[in-house]
Amino acid sequence: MHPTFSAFVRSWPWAPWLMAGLLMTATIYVRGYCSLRRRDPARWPPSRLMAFLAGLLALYLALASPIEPFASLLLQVHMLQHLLLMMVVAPLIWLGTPFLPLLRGLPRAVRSVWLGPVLRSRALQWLLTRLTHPFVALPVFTATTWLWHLPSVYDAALRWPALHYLQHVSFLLAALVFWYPVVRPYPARPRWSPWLLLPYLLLADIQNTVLSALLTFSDRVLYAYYAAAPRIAGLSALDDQAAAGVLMWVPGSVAFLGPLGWIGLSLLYGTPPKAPAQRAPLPLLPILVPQTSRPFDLLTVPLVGPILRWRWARVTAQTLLAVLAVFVIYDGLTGPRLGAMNLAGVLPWIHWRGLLVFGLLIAGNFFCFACPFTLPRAIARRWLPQGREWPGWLRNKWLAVGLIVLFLWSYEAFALWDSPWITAWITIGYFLAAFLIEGFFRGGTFCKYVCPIGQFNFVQSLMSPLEVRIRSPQICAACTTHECIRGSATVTGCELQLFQPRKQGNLDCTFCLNCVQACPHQNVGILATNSIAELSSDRWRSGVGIFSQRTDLAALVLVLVFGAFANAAGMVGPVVDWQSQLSQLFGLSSPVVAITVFYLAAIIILPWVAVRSAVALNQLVAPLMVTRRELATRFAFAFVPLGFSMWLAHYSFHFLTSSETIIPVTQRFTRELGWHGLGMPRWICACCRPLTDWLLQAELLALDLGLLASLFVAWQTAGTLTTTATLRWKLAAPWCGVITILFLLGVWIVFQPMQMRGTLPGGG
Amino acid sequence: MRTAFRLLTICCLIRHFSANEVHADGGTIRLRETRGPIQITVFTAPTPFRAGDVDVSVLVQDLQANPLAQDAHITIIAQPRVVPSVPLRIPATRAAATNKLLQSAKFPLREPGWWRLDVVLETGDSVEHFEFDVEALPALPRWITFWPWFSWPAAVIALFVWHNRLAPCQPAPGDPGDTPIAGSRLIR
Repeated sequence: MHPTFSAFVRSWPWAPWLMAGLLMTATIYVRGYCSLRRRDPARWPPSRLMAFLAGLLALYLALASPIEPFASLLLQVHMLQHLLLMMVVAPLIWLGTPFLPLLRGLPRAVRSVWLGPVLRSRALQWLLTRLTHPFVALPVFTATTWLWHLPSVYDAALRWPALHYLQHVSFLLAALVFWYPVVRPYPARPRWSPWLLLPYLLLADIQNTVLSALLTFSDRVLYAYYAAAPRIAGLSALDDQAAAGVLMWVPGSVAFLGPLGWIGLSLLYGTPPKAPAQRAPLPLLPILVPQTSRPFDLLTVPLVGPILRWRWARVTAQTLLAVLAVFVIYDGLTGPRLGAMNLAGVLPWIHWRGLLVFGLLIAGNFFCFACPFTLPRAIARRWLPQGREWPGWLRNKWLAVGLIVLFLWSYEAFALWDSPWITAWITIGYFLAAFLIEGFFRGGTFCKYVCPIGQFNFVQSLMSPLEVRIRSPQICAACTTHECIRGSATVTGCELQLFQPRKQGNLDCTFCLNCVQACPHQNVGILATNSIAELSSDRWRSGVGIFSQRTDLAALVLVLVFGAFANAAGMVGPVVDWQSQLSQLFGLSSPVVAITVFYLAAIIILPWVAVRSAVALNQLVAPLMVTRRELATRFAFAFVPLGFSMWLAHYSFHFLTSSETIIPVTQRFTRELGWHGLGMPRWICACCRPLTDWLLQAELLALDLGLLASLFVAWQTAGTLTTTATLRWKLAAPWCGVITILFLLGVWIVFQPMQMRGTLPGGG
Repeated sequence: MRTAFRLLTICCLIRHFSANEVHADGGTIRLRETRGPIQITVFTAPTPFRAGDVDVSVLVQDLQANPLAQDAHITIIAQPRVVPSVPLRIPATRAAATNKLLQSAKFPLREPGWWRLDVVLETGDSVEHFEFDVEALPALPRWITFWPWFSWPAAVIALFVWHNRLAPCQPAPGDPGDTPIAGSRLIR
């Protein structure tokens, strides 16, 4: 193989976002296409599907194949790239008749509530109709082609990446506009005569011929960039330019004249559109009853479902985590004092937290499912006089709120991430607290009212896509035994007293799956849920009550949301510097006072001021018939998505930059236990990876989505409080303002230099 | 639907296009020189050249403009021209390059100003030095290069407002507790 060609076939750029975008588009299309084809196979032949997917593939090849890196060295490769975009991608996409499949493939709510009104917009329809008229589309296509081929513009595009990207986007858009009248994808019904297409395509070919002839027959190199570029495979710049011209000329003419001939012949000799005549008679197209699709149920997934339904699944998972917890305690008490070299410094603060947020993001509260701290509960209940009621005044989240504040403060004040010894004692304390509380009090008291980790999981799992929920309300309506909460002969009922038929959302659900095991009708599943829509609802929920009546829950949410930002800000350079300066200003040797001031302000004063201000602004715009407390508690839940996105950005940063630290730490730990099979510790792995662009992009994307979801929940919540559109906007505005400020703070945080905690500088 | 599809396509393209990882495949040509039996071309990125993460890529060819049969050992040595300090030495490898004709070195350039770059090429027994000066502009704040990543929600919000004008707001459906009938709790 020629070395140049060998290099070409190996030069694949890394374009994860493009691939993700195209895969998402393809998925939506295929979903919609399958639905449409089931109803009317004659109108939706496989060729449409093939054409659309081929169009997406061509787009990927144009932008993320070896064509992309070689386009800057050879004009002919660059021409090939542009031809793919303009002559292949655009017509293939239209041949796939993408409108209906893409629309159909989207979730019903997005389709009907969001896209429907936009697509029905007369202004938009007028614009698109005009834009795709041949009299407009041809000049747009021609102007775009010629403008970008002017030597000065083309050279500028090659030198400035942003301009180059704009060039590709405008080529693709112009081509989509141009090919639309030619393909006329269903359900387009243009009002102009199809004969217009003959001069349309002919003129397009003429302009293409003139431009390609200029390139082919020019006796000088038109583009200075390629004149200066190194020669590849002995090809001169002029020959390269001529080859590019020929490439534009011949395939370009085929692309224009082929359809021209086909359409011309169809118009001259073709029969009227055959589809109506050959369509199956009406009885074959019955009116279908709208189907209510069953939501995704994790328990029906092969392998995963049976494992989760297995009676000992939870105990097994808890045992595994309990073993890890024992290792953490042992190493924390006896191992090195440096966090990055100790299991107690690495496992809880890098891996557990990172995997926790990923688990919450893609599934649900499976860490409470596998919680090791409640494993000894059965022993505690046997040994200790279990059965007391938790004091009434503590049956709320205030204790947990206090513990979370205490934890967030002590995490910074005592550098818990770098103190294996304290981490080990916290773990021991956790086991003891769970053991004693569960031993003396009944009804999952520790999980429901005390455990700060559990409260974190409960609140963040409000954003999870899965929920333990009943499958059919009818079955529950007929049920009189209620094993899901009372338990059966072999399995206890819900440990947190959540009654499944009235349970809503993931709050206070530990995913213990007792209800799944206990239900004799197999009517409890782990179902997909629209968690964001639930946040604005104020209906009564089993075990939780009504959001607007739960000030303690709102406080928990706000502490966790503002705590997310404070916890992340505590590790960025400017905040650390500010704390040092504050300590120096007051002549303090320890940063504890500055940290205390910071946390007091960030997670207590700031949320209080923000909420009070927003409520006061609400009172200014309208006379209230709800109390200020109810207003604050209702809107507090709008912050949940943004808070989750900040935790996700923060913890995923640590996990993805420092996850390899576990390798040398495990090697050291096993060696100290006397097992040498893993070899010597490779401390180079304990050095964090640099922050890559894609990680920063992912962090920003998480914050973006959190912002949009939070704003939407605020707007939805306002909608439940008023009947007029104007008031709705006015009510939501102050809350949206606070959310936006928090978002900007989050963006600022992720751009700051961050402490790489839990790692060794320079690989130790 | 056209709008939706085009928007989706544009979003995907913007995502791709705004990836600002430095790669010199198509960056600025800084040096082209023939010495003995080899030709060398050196590219730098980003354009314009700035302090921060930079990429220096080297194309080594024979006199017929074919890539060399065996990879040359290339090291990039970067040093400030005015106040010499400990130079940066970074090997340029084919693995680091997107375009496998090139060998690339990616490294952080500490500060703006004039830098002397020395491309050390080892082929067989011979060692050749190709030196040139390049001015690095001050680094842009990262947020400038990543602005599309945190500003696109503004477009979504604008679309949402427009959408809301087209479809006037309605109470959240399907929730008895949320409908205006729970009238005593309404704001009018």
